[in-house]
Amino acid sequence: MSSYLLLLFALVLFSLLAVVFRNMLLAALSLGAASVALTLILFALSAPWAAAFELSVCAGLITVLFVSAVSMIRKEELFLKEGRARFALLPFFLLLFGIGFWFFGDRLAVALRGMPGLVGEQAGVGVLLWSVRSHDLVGQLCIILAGVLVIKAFFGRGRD
Amino acid sequence: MNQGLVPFILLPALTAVIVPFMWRKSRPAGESLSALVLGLGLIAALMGIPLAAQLGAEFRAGRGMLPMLPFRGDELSILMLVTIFIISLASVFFSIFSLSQEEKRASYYSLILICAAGMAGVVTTGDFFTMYVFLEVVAVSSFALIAFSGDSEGIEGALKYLFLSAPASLLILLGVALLFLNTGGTSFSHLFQTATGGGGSRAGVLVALGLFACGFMVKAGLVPFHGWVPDAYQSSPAPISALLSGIITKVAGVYALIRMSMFLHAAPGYASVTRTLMFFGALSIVVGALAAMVQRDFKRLLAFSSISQVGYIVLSAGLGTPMALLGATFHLFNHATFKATLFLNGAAVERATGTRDMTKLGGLGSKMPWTTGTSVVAFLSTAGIPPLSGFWSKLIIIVALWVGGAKGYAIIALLASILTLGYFLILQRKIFFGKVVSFTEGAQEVAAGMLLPVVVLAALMIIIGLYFPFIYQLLLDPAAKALL
Repeated sequence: MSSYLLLLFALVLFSLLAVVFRNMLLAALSLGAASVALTLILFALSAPWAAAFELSVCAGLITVLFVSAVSMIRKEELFLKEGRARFALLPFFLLLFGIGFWFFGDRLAVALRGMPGLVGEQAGVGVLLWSVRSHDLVGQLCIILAGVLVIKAFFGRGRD
Repeated sequence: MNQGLVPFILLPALTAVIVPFMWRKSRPAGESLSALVLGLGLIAALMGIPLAAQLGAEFRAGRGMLPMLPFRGDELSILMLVTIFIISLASVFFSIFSLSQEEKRASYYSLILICAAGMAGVVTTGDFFTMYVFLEVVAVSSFALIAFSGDSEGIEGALKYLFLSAPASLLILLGVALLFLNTGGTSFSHLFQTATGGGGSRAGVLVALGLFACGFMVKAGLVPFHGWVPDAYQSSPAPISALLSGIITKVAGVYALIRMSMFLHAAPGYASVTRTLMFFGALSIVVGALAAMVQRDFKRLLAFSSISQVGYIVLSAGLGTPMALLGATFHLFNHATFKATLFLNGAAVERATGTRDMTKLGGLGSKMPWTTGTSVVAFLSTAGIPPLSGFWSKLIIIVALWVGGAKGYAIIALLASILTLGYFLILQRKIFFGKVVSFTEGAQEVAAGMLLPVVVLAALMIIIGLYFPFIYQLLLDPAAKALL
């Protein structure tokens, strides 16, 4: 159960960071990390197809699209310094999440008690991705490569 | 043999990684490697032609081409692979000789390679979700290639492409989700089994197909979803315009529509989808041709002409009879060759004169004889003049429409063909014939390296036209049979 809570916490934290960051590149990457956390939760909750699609679409494609678009933005707009005032909101949101968890934590704990162990399910992640959706993995590698090339093309120009 | 299709994806993708490292040591080596790999891909695709029937039999039997990576392919896939690698190679070759040292970057060639890998992935998969993943590979790399010049025009074209392409991807993804919900899978065979009465919700599948059709029509640049096409073609570097018009829109949109028609023709109760495809195909033919007639910028004229020609392919694919599908696939290949030729020649004219405004041009025929000659061959082939390749594909389309009972559409296709001839005669007269004007006085023929791809493509149009019966027996007839 602690693994579920850890993933849930990671999901909330990365989602918040995606909103709070002024640097759009960091915001896009945070959103990608949140999607990865959600993917793992979906796998753990025995929804492997949803998890595979979440990983392909949200953690992979959408993140690459965001990062590619961000790479075209002018350098001075991209590397904005993070204002401390915005980060001051982070503890507030976490506090809000904590209060919510305080009220609903018991019910969540009951619900999670019947869930299969996370470690055992993780073995199925590789099996599903490699044996059932292996062709998507090739596509995923290609799209990540395309994203890297887009960043190289436009950031390279920015440095020139 | 079963592993034959994977190198079409992995080899260009891996080379895309290697080229930037090689670029640091030697630029020509990086460029040559890009061209070499695409050339190898083309040779491998051509070698697949004699095996096409066997590949198709395995595909139709529902078996993957490779146990580890279940990419699939049939006769249509082989034809598409040949087209992808011909046009990508022509674009890279033209880029090597046409781009200035400042314009050249390693990532440019890598992006073309990864785009080719993505396109190969689209045409060799038997699953709609995998197709979606590879479509996004094509979309991301195309988006970057359109904006590659980095100027405001390029960024605008790329953003228009992105803003229309992203919702289209969303529609396709929703379609995949609905297909999965209603058939229990996302593969072509799931759709085929459900469409032919093998269970699943017919209404749900119909909605999924509607979403697919909308998404793919946007990506194909059909009217009324064509807003991104003229700006993207106009603002991208010339070899990328050739790539976009020649093959990217075909693979990203038209290919999937042909595949859909293949399933729906055999299935009762889905006529509304095919009728819709035919309507938007015919609309694109007419609107594209009329809009092309009033353009001053020749790249925009070629863009609207592409919309019109894609309309022919979709109209024919929508009908779905064997002859119509044969016409659609053959015209797809032909359009790739003649439109790539015209865009590359357009770049040669722009380089020689410094303008794309047709009202400022004239008399280039004597100054640029090779560019003029290959352009005239491409114009005539586009307009469907015998004995060039475009004549045969248009003839097959029009006859298929007439025989298939769509006589109204056949007449529209025929009349629009006359319009095509009209706007190309205008373009020809304004650019290549007439008196030499101030902009064209100092024009000279471009380098032999830039001419080679267009000469080869023009030769293909003539050879395919003259040897049509042989080409028909070797590739087209098996491809058409495979579609049904």
